[in-house]
Amino acid sequence: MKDHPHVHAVGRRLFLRGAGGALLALPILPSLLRSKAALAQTAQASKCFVHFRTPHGGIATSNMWPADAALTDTLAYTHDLRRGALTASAQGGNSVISSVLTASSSVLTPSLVAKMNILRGLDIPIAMAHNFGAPLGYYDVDHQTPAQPTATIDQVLAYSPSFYPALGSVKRRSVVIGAPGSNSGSHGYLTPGVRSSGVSTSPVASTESAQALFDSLLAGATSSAPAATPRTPVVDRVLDSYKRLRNGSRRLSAADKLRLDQHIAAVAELQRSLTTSVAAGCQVPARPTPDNLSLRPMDGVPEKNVQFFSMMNQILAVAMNCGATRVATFSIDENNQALTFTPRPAQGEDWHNNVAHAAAKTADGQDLVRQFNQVFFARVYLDLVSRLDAFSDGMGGTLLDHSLVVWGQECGQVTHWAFSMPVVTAGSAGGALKTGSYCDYRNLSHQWGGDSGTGNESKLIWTGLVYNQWLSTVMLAMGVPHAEWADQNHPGFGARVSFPSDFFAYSPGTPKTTDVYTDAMWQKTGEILPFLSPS
Amino acid sequence: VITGPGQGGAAPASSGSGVAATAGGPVTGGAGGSSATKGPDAPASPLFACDASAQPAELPLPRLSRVELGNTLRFAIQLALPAEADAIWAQVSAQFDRYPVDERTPAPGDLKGGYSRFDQSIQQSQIEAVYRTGTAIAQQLTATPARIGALLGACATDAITTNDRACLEAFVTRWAARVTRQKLSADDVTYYADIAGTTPVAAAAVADVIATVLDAPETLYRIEHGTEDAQPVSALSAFELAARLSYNFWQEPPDDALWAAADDGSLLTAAGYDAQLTRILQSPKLRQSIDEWVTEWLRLEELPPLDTLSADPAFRAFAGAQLPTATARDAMIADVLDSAWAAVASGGSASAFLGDRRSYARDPYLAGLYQVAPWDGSAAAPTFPSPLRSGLLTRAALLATGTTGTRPIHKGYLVRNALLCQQVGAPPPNADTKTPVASGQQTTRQAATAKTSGGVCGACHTAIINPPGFITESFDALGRERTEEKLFDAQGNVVASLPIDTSAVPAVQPGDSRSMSTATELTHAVDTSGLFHSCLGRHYFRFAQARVEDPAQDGCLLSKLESAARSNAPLTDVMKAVARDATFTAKRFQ
Repeated sequence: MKDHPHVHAVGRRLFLRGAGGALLALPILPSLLRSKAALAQTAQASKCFVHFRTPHGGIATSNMWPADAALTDTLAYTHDLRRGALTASAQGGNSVISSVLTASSSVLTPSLVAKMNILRGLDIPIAMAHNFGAPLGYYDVDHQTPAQPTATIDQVLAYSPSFYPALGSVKRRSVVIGAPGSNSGSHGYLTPGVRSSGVSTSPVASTESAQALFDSLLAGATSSAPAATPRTPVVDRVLDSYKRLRNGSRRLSAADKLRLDQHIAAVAELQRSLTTSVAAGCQVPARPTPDNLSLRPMDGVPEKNVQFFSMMNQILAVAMNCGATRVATFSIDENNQALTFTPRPAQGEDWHNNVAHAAAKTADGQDLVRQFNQVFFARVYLDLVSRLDAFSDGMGGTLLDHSLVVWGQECGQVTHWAFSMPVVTAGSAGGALKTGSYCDYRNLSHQWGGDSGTGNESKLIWTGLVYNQWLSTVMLAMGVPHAEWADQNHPGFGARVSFPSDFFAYSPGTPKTTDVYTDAMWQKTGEILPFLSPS
Repeated sequence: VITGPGQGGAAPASSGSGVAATAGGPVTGGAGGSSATKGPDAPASPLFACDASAQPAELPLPRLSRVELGNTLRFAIQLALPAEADAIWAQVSAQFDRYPVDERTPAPGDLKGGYSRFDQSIQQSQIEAVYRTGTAIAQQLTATPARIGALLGACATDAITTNDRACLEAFVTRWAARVTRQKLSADDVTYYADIAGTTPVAAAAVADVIATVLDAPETLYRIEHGTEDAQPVSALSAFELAARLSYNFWQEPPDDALWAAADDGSLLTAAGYDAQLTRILQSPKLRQSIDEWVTEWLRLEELPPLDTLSADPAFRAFAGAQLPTATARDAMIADVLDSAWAAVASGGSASAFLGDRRSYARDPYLAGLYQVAPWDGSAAAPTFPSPLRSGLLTRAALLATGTTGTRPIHKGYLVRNALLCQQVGAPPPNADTKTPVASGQQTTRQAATAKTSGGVCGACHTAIINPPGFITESFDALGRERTEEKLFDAQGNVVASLPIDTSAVPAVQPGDSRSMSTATELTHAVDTSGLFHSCLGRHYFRFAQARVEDPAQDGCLLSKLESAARSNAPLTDVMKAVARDATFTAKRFQ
């Protein structure tokens, strides 16, 4: 186990206590757990999923990706795909995969690199522009409601009976972290878990308070003495009051009743949560005081920006180890949260207008975008990854091994465009994914026509596989079968979108969208992405 | 050519407007008729028309907004223990702080035209936060025998136990009815009182009753059953109507007088309804909803912090002695809101708000920018000394940027989109949205022109977006008047001082080719076009109905709002039009 400055090594016993209620009821003996069957059962029960979304994208090829020479293997698929072993070189005190994917050698160790993947060449074939939900599967083009709203992968997981076969010590099915009142990018079904109820076009509300996170996931670890005369829990009364109205004789419209059903489902979930205790023996840290919100104002102060998230990472990692939740998303936005991980303030929409959109054209803009993302990667993303990796599963692995921690971005290498949406992962989801690869899914015979408005970087775009296949890969890795999420128009996850056939960016002589994102490609969206299947 | 927004870009019934522009495409449609054949100051044709057969949509099971819910919980505490209400709220407010903020979602075809009231989502985090808040309030209200006594009366603290159940039922009848905005039936009272169990006035028992009431569907939603079970559109009951009135205009439950009018039935008479409506609109409690409406309509929250760059040499040199304070942003927003409230409270019209030339700067910093004395909040507000400061368009909140440079594109879009309700579509995906910055020998205007005049950009920017923003270039990025634009290097040295050009053809109405160079002229054109008034009506519709209009189905109410606004009736008459419409006094069951 690696020595991490912020975390304490936690042993197998605690890990198992958080591994699911079904397991907690069993007399667990280490000798049994060492069997392959027991390991598989444990791993299945304790998979965790975390997704970080950062704004804009816009990271130039030269800053984001390792050199092409790293791609040593070729695979014939719908087109020729490439991969290579993921490696980091030592430069000074740093480990360097690429300019952005650079971190202290004490954090980005060879062992950790071997648990990561970097995926290039995953496209959302639509003029995406700005969005909040696209990396999670909600293709909200230009912040508008999608033509086909889709519940995001985190929310499908949160209410999946396959992912959560037993809720045990789960206090929250998922946590959504982001600026309150801003778009979290996470969307669920109107009635949670009920696909037929339709997708909510309102995003799931988010929080960014470390104290709120603590209170919802870890508070109450020490159980209080039962009341002398137990009373019926108020939540039961509340639930009954909704059912009384819903099923009463007074007139309500069908739409009214549908909303009451949604509320009843949420109260029932609250009822479940209130009767769930943090696993006994879970080593809960002290409630963060003061809250991370007290770090504000912090626009233009990178150390505070990092600390802001680190305080939440600490709680989240413990909560996942204790089994208090298994799904989390972070929606990071420089404008809504007033932070940039650089000394350059966001200043409202100033960063958006004058940095992110200048990133493909000016060296200053690109360098600021690089700084933002490098600091995020090294100090926020890897901070959580390292914390999860510090929790032993008692079987020679770590909590990270049972998890999938993803960094996704709003756009690809040119902001507004969803070509080569970068995906960085850590963890194998309990062995469901092969790790240690740099995968390039681009089709090098399909160079994009580009557009003249976004600088030279737009000339470095080749189309690849559709992003939906990555979303499917996540679901399959998490153990959720196709039946719970496959789209009606293709075997994969999410909406089948397409550019108009005469889309202006395809200049004469370049392939048309239907020639690039072919039916054959869409028919493969239900498969685990090439190079990632362990078999 | 520009369009009005609509449900999914649908055309208003009478205007012939086309669909909203698609990203990067040409902008099509009309905006209520050309002025070319009617004279430059003739108003545009009305945008809305009434189709008597239309069936307006009904918002199903409206959830109280976060503001409304907070007010309701405070009302419940105040009703229970008035002497300790503030102290109790202070004890529980941290729980309520966890209640999610309602998110502003875009209106179809109008990215920034939504309201937080549109957020009708039902969230797990809402349910949890209100549950915790409700139980915390219940614990506070029953924390001591003295509080139990104050809540329930002496019957709860005397030595007699046979009256305990009746004591609790009396409290439920009195308190829960007001909190849930309904007359409780005997069954309802029994239902709540039964929660207490065999010890009706014990603290834990009463707390359970209170917490359940505070979390009840009738508390968190506006539950409306109507009065005519067989009809698809049913008149509301007096109490349902009272709740609609109080929440729409005050964002809180009915007060004593409104409750009494519902209870004695007078609210269901024409005279009684009008009396209550008039009283509601004359109350200071109207202010909260006006502030929310105007803030979101004019997107005042987009004004960035003004002191972020206070350490930047160029910004310091630009600001000079008027370096923004930490409160400058709030002061600028308050100036707009005070102006709106002044118009509402004084019987002013839409035009009065648009052309209000008084300063409401209570903050010395903002007053200094306006070159007036700070307003004391009660005396007559001072008038802007400069004739160029024509009213709303020249208030600092609509001009300031927090940087050294103005943003004429942003200003122009605000006029076009928020004040005139004209849609120009989203920029194409490959648009370079880097803010044009003055440099070398180029003013901000020149930089903006150079950046946006070519290619696909020019189609929207040259004639539609930029011109209204150019006209207010006689004000700098703090909202101060200027005749020249100073350019600074990174060290704060002046490197150029360039003359300002404010002439432009704003084409407030299609076909109006008049060139203008002052905000006064622009304000006049916006005012006389009638489009500002139509836009105000449209936005008040959205705010009041908590949904996006469908001109085909909502034309009757929209045309009433438009007509009231264009007639320069008091703004309260525009609001009355909502409350007097059939869609307000009845519910469509769908």
